[in-house]
Amino acid sequence: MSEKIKLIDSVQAINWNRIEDEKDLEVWNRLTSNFWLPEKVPLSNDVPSWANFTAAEKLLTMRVFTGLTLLDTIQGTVGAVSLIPDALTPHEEAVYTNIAFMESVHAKSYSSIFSTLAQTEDIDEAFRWSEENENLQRKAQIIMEYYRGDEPLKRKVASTMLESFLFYSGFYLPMYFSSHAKLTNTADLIRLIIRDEAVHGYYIGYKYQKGLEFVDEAKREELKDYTYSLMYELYDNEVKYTQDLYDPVGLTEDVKKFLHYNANKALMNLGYEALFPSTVTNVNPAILSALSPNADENHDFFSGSGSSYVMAKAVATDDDDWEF
Amino acid sequence: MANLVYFSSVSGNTKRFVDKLGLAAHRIPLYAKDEFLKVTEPYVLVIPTYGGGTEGGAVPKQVIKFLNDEENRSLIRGVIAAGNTNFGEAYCIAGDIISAKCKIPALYRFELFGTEDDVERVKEGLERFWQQQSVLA
Repeated sequence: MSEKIKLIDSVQAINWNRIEDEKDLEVWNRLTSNFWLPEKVPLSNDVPSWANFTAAEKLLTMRVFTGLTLLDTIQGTVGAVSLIPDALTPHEEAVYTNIAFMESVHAKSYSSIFSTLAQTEDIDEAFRWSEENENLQRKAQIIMEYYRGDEPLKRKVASTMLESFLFYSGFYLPMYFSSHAKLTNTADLIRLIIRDEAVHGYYIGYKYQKGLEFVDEAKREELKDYTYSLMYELYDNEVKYTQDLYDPVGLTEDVKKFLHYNANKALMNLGYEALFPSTVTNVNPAILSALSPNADENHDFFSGSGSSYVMAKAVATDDDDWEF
Repeated sequence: MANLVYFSSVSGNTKRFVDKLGLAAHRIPLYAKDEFLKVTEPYVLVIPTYGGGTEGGAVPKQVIKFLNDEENRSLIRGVIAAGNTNFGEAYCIAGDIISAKCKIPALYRFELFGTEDDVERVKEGLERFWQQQSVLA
C-alpha cells in the first residue's frame, strides 16, 4: 500500500463517564455482551451431514462462504476502520474498533468451517473461484470505492448496505440447509454473525441519520437519491451473483425474495422507506423461521388466523428492575 | 378510543411507526428528569426490543419503570413490539415478556419502523381490537 491511511486529527483520552450520545454506550454494551468465538460452536458435529452432501452442494457451500469471507475481510480491515475519522464522538470511534475486530472474527470463522469440513485443495479452489468471479469482485469494488472516497456520509451508506444487504445472498444458504436439518451447527454460527451484522447495520445507519442533521436540505435530497441509486446498482449486481451461485441448484428465485426483504431493511436502517413491495418480499417461511423461530404470523393476534388471544409464554429474563 | 402508549429511543424508529398510524399516542419519556407518564385510559403499548442477546435488557428500562406503576399497569390491554428477525429467538421478545408479565395479548410484531403493510394491518387490527374490548366491557 502506497497511500497512507487517514487517521483522526486529534485524540483525547476517552471518558466513558461523559457520554454525548447514549447510543454509543448502549451499542457498545450490546456488542460486548454478544461477543463469541467460532471455537465455541461444535462445528465438527456437522461432519456426518457434510459427508451426505452432493458434489454440487459442497461446491456451492464453499463458494458462498469464500464470498462471505471476502465481505467480512473488507469490513474488518477497511470498512469499519474507514468510519473512525468521521466519528462524531470518541465513543463512536471505540464502537467502530469493536465492529472491525468482530468482522475479523467472522472472516476467520469461515476458515474454521472450511478446516472442519473440507480438504485443502477444495478450499483453495473455492478461494480461487471467488477471486475470479466477476460479480463478487464487482460488489467488493463498488463498496471499496466509497471507503476510499472523501464523502463521509456516502461511506456510511455503503457500509450499511454491506452490513444489512450484501451478505444475504450468502446467508440464505446456511438458513436453507438448516431448514432441511443439514449443517445445523454451521447455521448456529452463521446466526451469531447475522445477529452482529444487525447491530452493526442499525448503528452505522443511525450515525448516518445523525450526520444528516448537519447538512442542508439540498444535500439531504442528494444523499437520498444517491442511496436509492446505489441500492439499484448493488441489487442488479447481486442478482447476477445470485444466478452464478444458485442457478445450478434452482434456488435463485427464492434467494431473490430474501434479497428484496433485506434490501428493504438496509434502507430502513438508513431511515428510508422500503423499496420492494410485499409481493416480492414474501420470503420462504422455512427460511424466515430458520432465521427467527418467532417470525411466523401465528405469533400475532392481528395477523393470526385464529380468533383466540395470543398470550406469550413466560419468558426468562434476568432483569431485576421489575417490581411485579 | 384508540389510545397508544409508546417508547422510542433516540434512533426514533418506534416513534416513526406510531406517527404513521396517525392515532392518539403518549410517549414514555426517555430520561429520568422528564415528567413521569401517568395514564388514565386503557391503552395498547408499542415498544422496541433492545436487541439480540440472552443477557436480559430486552425491555427498555423506561418501559419497566412505567409498568411498575400499578395504575399504569392496570390499564394495559395489549402490546405491539418492534424488532429485527436477525435477532433470532430474541425477535420482538420485549413484547412476549410484557405479554406474559401483564397477562395481555401480544397483538403484532414489526421490523425497524415497519412497512406500509404493517401500518395498514395495525390500524385495522387496533380498530377491531377496541371494538371487541368495548363489547367485553
